[in-house]
Amino acid sequence: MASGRVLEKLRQLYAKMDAEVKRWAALQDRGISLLRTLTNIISRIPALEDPGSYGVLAALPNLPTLLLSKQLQSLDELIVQLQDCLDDAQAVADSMARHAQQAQRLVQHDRSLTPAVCAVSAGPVPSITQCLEGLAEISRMHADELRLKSALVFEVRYDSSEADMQQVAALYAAQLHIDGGHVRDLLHVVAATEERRRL
Amino acid sequence: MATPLDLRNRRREAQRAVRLAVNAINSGLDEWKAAVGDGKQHATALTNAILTQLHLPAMPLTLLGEATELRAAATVKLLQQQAEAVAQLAGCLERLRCAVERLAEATAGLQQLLDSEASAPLLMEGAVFATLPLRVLGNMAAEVERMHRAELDVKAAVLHGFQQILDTLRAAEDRERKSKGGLDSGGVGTLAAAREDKLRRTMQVYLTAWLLSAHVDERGVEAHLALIASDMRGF
Repeated sequence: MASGRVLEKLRQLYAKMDAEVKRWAALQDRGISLLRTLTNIISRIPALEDPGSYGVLAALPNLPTLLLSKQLQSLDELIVQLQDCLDDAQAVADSMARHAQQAQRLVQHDRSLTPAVCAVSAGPVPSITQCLEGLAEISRMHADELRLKSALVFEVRYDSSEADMQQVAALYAAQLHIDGGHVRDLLHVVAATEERRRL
Repeated sequence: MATPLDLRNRRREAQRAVRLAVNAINSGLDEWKAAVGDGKQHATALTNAILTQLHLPAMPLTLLGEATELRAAATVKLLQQQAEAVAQLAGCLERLRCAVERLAEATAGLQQLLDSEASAPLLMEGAVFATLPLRVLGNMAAEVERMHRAELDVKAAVLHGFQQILDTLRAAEDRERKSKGGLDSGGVGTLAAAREDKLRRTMQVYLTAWLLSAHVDERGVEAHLALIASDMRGF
């Protein structure tokens, strides 16, 4: 049956999507950790810029300049790492979009898959339409989130305040566009029904 | 007149000295990094204990406030934590000193050879291994030692700075105890807040100075070692 074959291919795309979701999660952890370090560094900069904060270290020649330049250098490197992290997230989002488009094309190219056939769901097995919608939804959520993250990372500057950075880090961690539970459900339904079919 | 055998012997001697120096530098740098990492933890613990002590007088204890002498007991415990952290930090400084001594040994070995070369030149600008002459290898080792020695002074100053803060706080504590008959070191109000902010900033600088090793160009050190290692490859 044509719909059975398509469903099998859709499952394979879901497995690929699952791998991308895991890659995204790892990048999210890396981004959060980088932002935490960035916030710590940015919170220290006003003290490093203030000659009155050096205490006994003020007596050491050149130390304030050296310390500040080294700290700014680390800040610079971390911002670059955060940009790299975002580039990797862009690659993940692109890959997700490709999987969703591939699924659409798969169904469009098979003339036997009429809208009625696509809407049929057999027991717990989701219909082809539901599978397509699921993939598109996961891709859309991550693409939206990536746009937000890009805007947030754009806000990270040398002169950002500690409070701004805390807000950026909180928004970055919150992933407002991604409903984690819903993504897990979408992936789980397809994976779980595959096991039942095998039995 | 030096024979080819003399030259070969000097070259072998130089190669042995460079290998020993590189091993000493690597182990010295490992010890340095470990001590800086441990010291960071102790310096952070010390900073936190000092800040908590400063916040303690104004800290709302709600129901715990009914427990008698709670603030005094907490202060005693915090003072104990501060003493422990400062002792641990002093231990880390000692380890850093040992690490720098190891780097100095490495430099001294090469310097000794450079001195022999100066009195009876054999190798001159010839390569010890593939390309690098003894003078360049000696300069690289000396540069690594110089950076770490300069940084050791900063670390010692950081420890001294923390000790100075503790002494100041204890003196203030004693004054308060005598005048009020109780432990109330941090105080509340604008003056206390300003003093606390200045202290917090100073401790932030001390912590950063410990952590960053401003005088050490880590990439430069790594590049030197990688260059020497690649030059030694195959010998």
